[in-house]
Amino acid sequence: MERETTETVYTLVIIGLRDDRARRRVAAALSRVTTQMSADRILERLGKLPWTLTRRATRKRAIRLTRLLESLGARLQVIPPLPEDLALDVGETQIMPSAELLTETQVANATQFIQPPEESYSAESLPERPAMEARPAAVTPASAMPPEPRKMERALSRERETSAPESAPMEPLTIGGILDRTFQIGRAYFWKLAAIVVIPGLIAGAISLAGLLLGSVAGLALSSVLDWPAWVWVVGTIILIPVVVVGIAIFVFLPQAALIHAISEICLGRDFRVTDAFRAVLQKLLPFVLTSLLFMLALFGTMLATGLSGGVLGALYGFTASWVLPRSLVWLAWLPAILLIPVFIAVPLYAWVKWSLFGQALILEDAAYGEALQRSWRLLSGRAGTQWYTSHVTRLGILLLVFAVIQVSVSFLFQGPAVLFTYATPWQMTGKVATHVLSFCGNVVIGVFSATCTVLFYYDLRNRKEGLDLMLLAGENVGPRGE
Amino acid sequence: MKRKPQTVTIETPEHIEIQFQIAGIGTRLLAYLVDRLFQLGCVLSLIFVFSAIVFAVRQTTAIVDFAEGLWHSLGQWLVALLILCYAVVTIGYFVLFEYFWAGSTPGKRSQHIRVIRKDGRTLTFFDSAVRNLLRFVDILGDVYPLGLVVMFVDIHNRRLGDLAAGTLVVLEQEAEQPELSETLDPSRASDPELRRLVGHMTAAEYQVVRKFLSRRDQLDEEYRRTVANTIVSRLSAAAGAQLPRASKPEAILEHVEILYRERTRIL
Repeated sequence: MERETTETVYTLVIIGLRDDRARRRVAAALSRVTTQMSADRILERLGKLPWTLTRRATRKRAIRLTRLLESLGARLQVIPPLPEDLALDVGETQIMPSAELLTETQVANATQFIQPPEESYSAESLPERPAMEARPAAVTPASAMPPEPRKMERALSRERETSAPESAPMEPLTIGGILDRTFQIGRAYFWKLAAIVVIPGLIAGAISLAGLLLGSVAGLALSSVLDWPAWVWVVGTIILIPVVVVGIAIFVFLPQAALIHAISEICLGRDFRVTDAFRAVLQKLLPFVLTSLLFMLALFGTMLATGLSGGVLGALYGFTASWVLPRSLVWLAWLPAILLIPVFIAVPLYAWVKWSLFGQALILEDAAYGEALQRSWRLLSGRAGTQWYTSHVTRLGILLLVFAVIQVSVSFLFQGPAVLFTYATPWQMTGKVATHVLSFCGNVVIGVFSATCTVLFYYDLRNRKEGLDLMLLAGENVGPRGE
Repeated sequence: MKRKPQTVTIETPEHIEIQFQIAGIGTRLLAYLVDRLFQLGCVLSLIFVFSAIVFAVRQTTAIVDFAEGLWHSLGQWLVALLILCYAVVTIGYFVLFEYFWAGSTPGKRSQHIRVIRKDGRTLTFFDSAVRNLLRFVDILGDVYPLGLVVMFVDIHNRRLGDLAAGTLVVLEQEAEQPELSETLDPSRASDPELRRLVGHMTAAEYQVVRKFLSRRDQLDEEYRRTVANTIVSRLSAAAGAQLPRASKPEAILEHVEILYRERTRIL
């Protein structure tokens, strides 16, 4: 067991202000030393004293802050009281802006006004404590608080834990960070995001069911499909083709587009409504469908071009080598052709990854058709670091691979029970329905998480390459507001 | 680059609260995949080395005969034995690494995470054994379905093994401090317009400047100029400072950053 070596930490509470001028001066000074609140909010907050500024100030910082704020007209309570003889021993210490003061939880929650503790806390007087090798993020003297405020503190800690996804600002993330945030957003907004996928799915299911019923009725009315008169076939085809096209556009592409929009709103720290998500992307639906077709055509073209060129090259090489090489070594002529196969698979795969952010470019930047594909290609150029594996294509490839693993897990989770049910019970029809329902549920889960992950990756790229987060921060925190 | 961690507060018997950053599900999943790749690599390397030795000493037939003999004598038990060996290697890998590396494995180390007990202490052998034996339940079919669901439901991202052993997986990485210039051009230091601009700056504005300076090398050239211009023009507008048009925005921001630090020193 090691002895505690942590420095004593102080709680600073503003308990009064000399006058309104002092309030303004204190607000201006605090706005320079905290990263958590604007001057306006500090000014507003100073109107409702007492205010616990921090519960983890070091001695030097506490002395500095006390001297500064008292000189500006504030009355402070410091717990434990600062030793008089040490008050001047602060040397070159700076009060650097930090998140230590005025945490977001304190700002947001009304339970922040914790009664100042009566006891003083000194780490030097503590008994033995367990060795901790992992570095703690912060140390707070819980013993310095009476039981009731301590409960409040725990409530605040819980709140910090649960509110993390909503309050997290945009900034470049690691691959692990993107995945973590995907799960955090999934946890916080799962039902709303799932509703975006489920509602059109249910409508499509209902329409299919109605169609099946109608078909059954028609089947009963007419003896055989082959007996249907020609006009039924013509009318059926004329009605069916546009219905299918519109159906696919509405039930496949609309949820995808709405998901991208909704997740983008979450990333930008805004709330969203399911209906608003659909409404926002309605006008972009046709370009989205057409750009998706263009994407598929481009991919098909790439596959065809690489396949053909590979085949022609391989065949040419093979024939040429078979003339040159002796008869016993002719098989060697085909070896390079076989070895080239992975290359010809890799090229379309590479193109697929490079174009895969076209949906985000279209929905979030209004770049349609070829422009969306180009934008995706440009975004995925370059690297996040100096090593080859930090290239953006590789990073997205890794994310897609991880998601393939997650997809297997989710399928296992949803399909497993359905398969067991089908084989373990005599109700085959029920088993089939259960399989379909669970498969749909699995697809919803995967759809939500993969869309979240790709939107996060898209914003990560924009933050890294274009400083989008810096621009947003500048707009929010620098200079005149609302521009 | 940062992750977005959640925190957990651990209260020691001395009533000291210590905050740890909890590792996210994604980071843990990546660490697991790295560990599986590492295991696979090691097993394949061993097989390759063993095969190479057998081939080199011309004992291939003897080995095949031995394997056939084993199959004839043990039958189905051989399969069971192989599954047991696989389990011992898989679980043993995690137990031993976590015990000897203070809660870390190669995969966890690559993602800067490690396992601790929920009271903040280092993992014991027993804790490690319990949490890893339950890995069998968590990784049903080797695809982690149950573990994923339990982690998703639990606020601290714990899987069944963690819940049983009373452990947590936490982040070890400290936030990186940006490298910033420490020198100030003397001709700039006394520029009254620059001083006025800095005089009006708030901490939030300083953070934006600092973030930009620490990340500017990663930005595309065009956007780098745009962001720098935007920040400088907004700062100037707020302070009413008239900065010379010829000055490079990035150079101004560098000076602003240093002067701001100087100013807080005076406070």
